[in-house]
Amino acid sequence: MNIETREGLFALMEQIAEEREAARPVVEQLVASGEGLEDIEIPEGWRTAGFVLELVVRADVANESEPRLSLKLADLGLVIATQLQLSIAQTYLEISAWREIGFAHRYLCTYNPAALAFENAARKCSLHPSLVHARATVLYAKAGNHFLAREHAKSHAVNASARRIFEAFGDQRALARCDVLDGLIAFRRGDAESARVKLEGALETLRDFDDDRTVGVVNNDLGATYRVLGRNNDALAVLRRARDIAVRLGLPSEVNRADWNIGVILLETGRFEEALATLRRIRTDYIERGMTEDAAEVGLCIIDGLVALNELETAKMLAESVIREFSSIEMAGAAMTALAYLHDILKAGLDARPAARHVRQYMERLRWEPEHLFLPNED
Amino acid sequence: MTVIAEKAQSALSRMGIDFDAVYNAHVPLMIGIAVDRFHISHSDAQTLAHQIFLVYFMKPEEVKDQRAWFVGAISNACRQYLRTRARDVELPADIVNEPDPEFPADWLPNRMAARQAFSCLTSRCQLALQLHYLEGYSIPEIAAQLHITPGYAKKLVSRCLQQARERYR
Repeated sequence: MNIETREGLFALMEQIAEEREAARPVVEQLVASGEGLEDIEIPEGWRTAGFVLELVVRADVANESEPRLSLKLADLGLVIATQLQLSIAQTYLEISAWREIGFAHRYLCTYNPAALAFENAARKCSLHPSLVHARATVLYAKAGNHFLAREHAKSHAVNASARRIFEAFGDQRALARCDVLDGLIAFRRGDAESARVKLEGALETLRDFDDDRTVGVVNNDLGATYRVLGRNNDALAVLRRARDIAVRLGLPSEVNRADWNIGVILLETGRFEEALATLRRIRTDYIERGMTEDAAEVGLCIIDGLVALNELETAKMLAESVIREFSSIEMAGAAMTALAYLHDILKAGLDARPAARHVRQYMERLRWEPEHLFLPNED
Repeated sequence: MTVIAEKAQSALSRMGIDFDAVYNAHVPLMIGIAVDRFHISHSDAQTLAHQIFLVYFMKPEEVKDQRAWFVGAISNACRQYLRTRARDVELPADIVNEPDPEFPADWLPNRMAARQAFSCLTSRCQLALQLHYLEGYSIPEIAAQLHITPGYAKKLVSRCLQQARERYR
């Protein structure tokens, strides 16, 4: 369809809007039935731009709460999008599908396929001059993925590229998000004070936008920062705010993040049973959603609490599970050494409290110093 | 009467955004920027502006400050358009006047048959073949993408290719 004229443009928009309305009940049925999306033969009536748009929007809604479902929806969207004959609309839909594939992998903690997906999306953005802003959003997502994969230098560089484009658009909300990522990188590099300044600044900017989701995420990040700075009361205040927003918007990962930090504060202030109740819920949820790395890290916090309550047999069994989980995601050698050390102490029936605390804090420190060697406690 | 007014109950109007008003507010501005600031022809400027508007239409909720977004979009689009045009060279006259050596009827039926055969495969097969042959994914990368073992990924690609061949015949 020719979009060089206004009539042609609006005719195409009308067509896509109609296709999307027709697709909505079909996509909801696919989601509800749990049918194997991978093995279906795609009916001719699904091969429309509107159907793909509905798939990627649904994938976006599900990427945090149901990343496996999100991945299947986005994969199906990509397969259909590549067979459309709609020039820029097709390219945009392929980019959207690749982006959602990237996000789904990110929430599944599989960062390499996520990186490939974001790279594919970024590459396709160069096919049309009008996709520059789309490229910036993909670069920002790629930077976030590098951050989660502990590739901080790459994250910083790619974030800077995204920032330059957002500056050309005057997109203040996106620029605030770039500031948030820079703040998180500073946090991971051990500079919690710089992180605090950037995050508080970003929060101030975001108040002007109707973007509760990002405000909630930043409150969560600020809570973690305040905790490291020893400002537990401030941390609890912003974490509770983050949690309220996440509950209202139906964002289970953000609820978990808030609860996780609250749980660690409870551990460190001696409220072990309260901490364990919170942390156990989070770990179960991460396991159900296939977020293995996060489940394992929460497991470490639970071990710390169990040891404090002298539930040593349970702590030992959990340590064995956590070791298996970290092995399955090919955790670095030093991390496995730390876990094996903790497991040995538990198995030997020695006083595991200092070791449990030491290993948990070491694993946390690995996020910003991935090369840091593990040394056992001197105690 | 505007395009939207003529279809008052259209799917487009049910999206809850007055796209007609947004178009009137921003597309002439974008065209003006492209023509006046970047010296792009009116017809090419309109095409660029319409492409940008179509991208906006796909996810309007992502655009908070419409004016800034559209101005930024057209400015960046014009720069990229001009960079791409600067790399274009005209074909020599002796080649321009030559007929295309390939006649579409020679290859068109096969391509159409291949496309039809491909579209009959399951979505997983289509994805596996697309990743491998179009996107250049290795077998381990396909395995990571689909959350399967590399051994199964290899069998999947082989099996799907075989299925595509059989449907093509």
